[in-house]
Amino acid sequence: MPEEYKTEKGEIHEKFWERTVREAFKNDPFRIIIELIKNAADSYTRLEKKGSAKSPFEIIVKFHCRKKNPPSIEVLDNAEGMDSKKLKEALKYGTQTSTGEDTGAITSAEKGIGLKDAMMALEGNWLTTINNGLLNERNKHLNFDTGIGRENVAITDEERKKLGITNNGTLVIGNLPDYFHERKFATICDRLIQHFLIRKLLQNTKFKIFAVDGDTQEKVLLRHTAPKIEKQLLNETFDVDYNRKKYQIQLQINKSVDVLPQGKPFGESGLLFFYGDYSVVDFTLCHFERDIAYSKCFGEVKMETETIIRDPTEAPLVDEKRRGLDPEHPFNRRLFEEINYRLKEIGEKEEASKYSFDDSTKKEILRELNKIYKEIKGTGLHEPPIKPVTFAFYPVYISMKEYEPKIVSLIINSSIVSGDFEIFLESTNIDITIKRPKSIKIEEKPTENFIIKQIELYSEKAGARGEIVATRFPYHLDTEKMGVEVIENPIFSPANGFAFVPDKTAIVDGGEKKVDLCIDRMAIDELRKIELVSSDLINSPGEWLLPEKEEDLQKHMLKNVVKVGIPIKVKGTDHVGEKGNVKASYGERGSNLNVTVVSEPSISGLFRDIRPSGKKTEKICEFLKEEAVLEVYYKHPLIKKYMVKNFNNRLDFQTFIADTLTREVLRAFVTSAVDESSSRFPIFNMDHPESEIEDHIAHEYYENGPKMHEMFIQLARTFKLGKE
Amino acid sequence: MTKNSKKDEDIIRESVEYNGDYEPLDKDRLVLFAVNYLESKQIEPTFDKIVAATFKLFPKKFSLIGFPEYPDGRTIYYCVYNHCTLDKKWLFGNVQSAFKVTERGKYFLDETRKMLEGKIVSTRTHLTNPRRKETTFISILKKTNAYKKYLLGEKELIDKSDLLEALRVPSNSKGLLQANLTKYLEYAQRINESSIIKFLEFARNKLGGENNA
Repeated sequence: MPEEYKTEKGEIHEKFWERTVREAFKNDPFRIIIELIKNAADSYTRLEKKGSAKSPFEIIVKFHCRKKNPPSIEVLDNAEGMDSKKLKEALKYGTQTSTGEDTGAITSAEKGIGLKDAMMALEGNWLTTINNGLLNERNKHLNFDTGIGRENVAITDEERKKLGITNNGTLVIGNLPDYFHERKFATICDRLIQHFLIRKLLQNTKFKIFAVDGDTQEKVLLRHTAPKIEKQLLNETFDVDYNRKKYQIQLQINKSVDVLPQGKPFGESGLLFFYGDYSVVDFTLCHFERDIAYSKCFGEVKMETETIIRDPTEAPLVDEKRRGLDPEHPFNRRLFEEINYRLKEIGEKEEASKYSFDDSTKKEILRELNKIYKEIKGTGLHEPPIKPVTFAFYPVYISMKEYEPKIVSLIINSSIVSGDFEIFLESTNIDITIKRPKSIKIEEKPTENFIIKQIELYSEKAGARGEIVATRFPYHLDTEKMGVEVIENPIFSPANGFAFVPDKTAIVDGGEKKVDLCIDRMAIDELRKIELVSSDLINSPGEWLLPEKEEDLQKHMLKNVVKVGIPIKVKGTDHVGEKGNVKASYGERGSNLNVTVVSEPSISGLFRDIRPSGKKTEKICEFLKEEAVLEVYYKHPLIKKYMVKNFNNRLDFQTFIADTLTREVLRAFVTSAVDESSSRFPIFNMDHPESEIEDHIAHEYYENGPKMHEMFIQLARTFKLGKE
Repeated sequence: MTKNSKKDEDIIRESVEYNGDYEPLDKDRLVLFAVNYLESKQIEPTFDKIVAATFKLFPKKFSLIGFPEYPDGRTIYYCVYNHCTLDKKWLFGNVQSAFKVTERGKYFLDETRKMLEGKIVSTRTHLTNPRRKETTFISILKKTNAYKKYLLGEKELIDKSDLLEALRVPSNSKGLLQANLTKYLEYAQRINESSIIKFLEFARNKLGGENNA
């Protein structure tokens, strides 16, 4: 231990140190060690910039750990060292000195914590430095006084060996203060590795920073490993305007595979703000600090802000206690605004992808919704395919398959509609039935020129022929007729009594569907197993079991045939145009289904997507007309209330979602139809249509609500957490 | 037999153009009507008789481009066999066996009659001119940027390259300009496309003016 020969009076009252620096160290005592390490690193950087040294640069931090007391440390480098003049400057308060890795930066010591502060925090501290063969020893007292040991003494080889400084270099020793609570060497190493202030330095391959256990002489290379990246969320360079200058900011944000610990100084979820190569000034997620939704976000913000740091008239970017960037500094305010904006966008995008609906159910529902909208809206401005003087069927002749309903239209010219207008419909063949309606009554004078009424026909008899006759009563006896023929439905005559019908199908790339396998009841014996083999492209079950009991089998029967829906799926995506097959065999019978993968048809109409969103809004869901998207805001407190364990199987959740979506969809239907001047929704007061629109919505809710509820309950069942 | 055939031909020769607005109807329906016309006159609807009868009844829809006095046999063949027989099944038969209106066809025939009588109006519009070189290239010309701008009244926005592109003249072979302009004008006149004729005159003036400049 050096001996103090004389003392130099400090420039500042010790209260200042206590108020600022000591408090900062108390909150984060690892800073004391880090300041000393950084001081050594900066010295190497200056040497490198002068061309006097080449990496790797070694810094040794030796700990002498004790069970009951804080460890003592030695921080050693073989960098510049200091002569007595420079040393005096470095330990003096209020002097301008070059700091950090930026050798050009001149800043007041008032602006931060440095070597002298770290030394003052160490009890019994001594700094020994060698420069050009001369040794100097100094210490700092708590009252800012500087203790002086040997001064400009020529160094001997023996002493060099003892200190571990081969040429120039510095050694700082001392006992860590009592507020440094760690006692174990391994724990201290772990903490140092995780500390945000030293993270960039530990990632920098130019430096080799070793921790040495003073008792066992165990030597550990300190290296910080970044969390495993799942994907990069953002890599952008942008400018921050400040004082009519632009400062470049490079922002990189990643998403980690695992959830990361948050907060300073050891957290990993956050953004590391730094300048130069390793000078870290903060670690924060700005507005989203400690937001669980961002617990997988980590990254860096490289700030080209050296000119602000160099400017002596500029307020420091880092707050007085060096806790991080001063949020009140106008530059930082702008920087945080820019970053918050980007984080918010990322958050919304990530949140949206967190939950999802089942894709095929969603698409089915979207198609159905668009179909209902078309029906609700009516023909609107669109013309009917034909315009009869009275009324006429369209088309005038149809072929329909047995056991499959078919819709035809009767187009009526509104000019013939009077108060008691009615058209009766009848079939000339009892095997062809009119399922609905049996007659058409129009009580109110329609506003549109032509009315299209849909008529559903049905027959179970292949080969039947007949006519549907429409007769107008009571004062006219005009009739119109259409021809109907019923053709065989191929599902009832499967080839060899066991076949896929049809035997070829198209499937959307990456999609799934069910294909009909039809088996003649007469062909079914005791065997219940159908074996299925599919080509590489297609996934299908390996086997399908027919119900054991006759009554269960009956449930799958239609006429003479048992119809089984076999699910098939395309393996992966990017198979458009490729062909595959599925072979089914039952005993000695077999059937082959040819499958062609096609690209997905685009969904057109009022609704193109239904997507969950993490946006925080007052609404529970909203139809975004411009995007044709229905968004469901699952962070809304009323939805969150239902999102408890297994929520998608709970009836209360399903009902709530279904009802909310139904109401929003019907609102979208009516408002869009009114916008499109659909005659289905007449508005009396065009200047203030709001209440009439509400009436129309209520009416549609009673008309179409139940059907939509069923659809959306199905959709709600598939609402689940995605890959997260 | 020979005498009967001759009588059939005379009957067809004596047929006059249908007195009514048949141009909005599609050609398949008109051919179906013509087949039924022959059947109603006790004439066997063989292919040649169908061609002659269809042309006599509906000359504006079934004549050759530039030759209104001759029937367009090719178009009638497509209508009678490919469309009415094979696709729509309104007719039964073939060129070797002659044709016959089917049960299904009778419903559409009935609907066609109502359309011809004006009792039903089809809201679909149908081409009158057959798809030949003239209609094909005039139709392509109508889709060019230059013509679209012309229709929108944005004549000042049409530049030389737009016009050359519309007239299919490569920038390195300006010698083609006059030839193509003349050809397009001839096509437009043949199928009576007055707006295209005006556009081509505009193009001629603009390109001529720029060339002189």
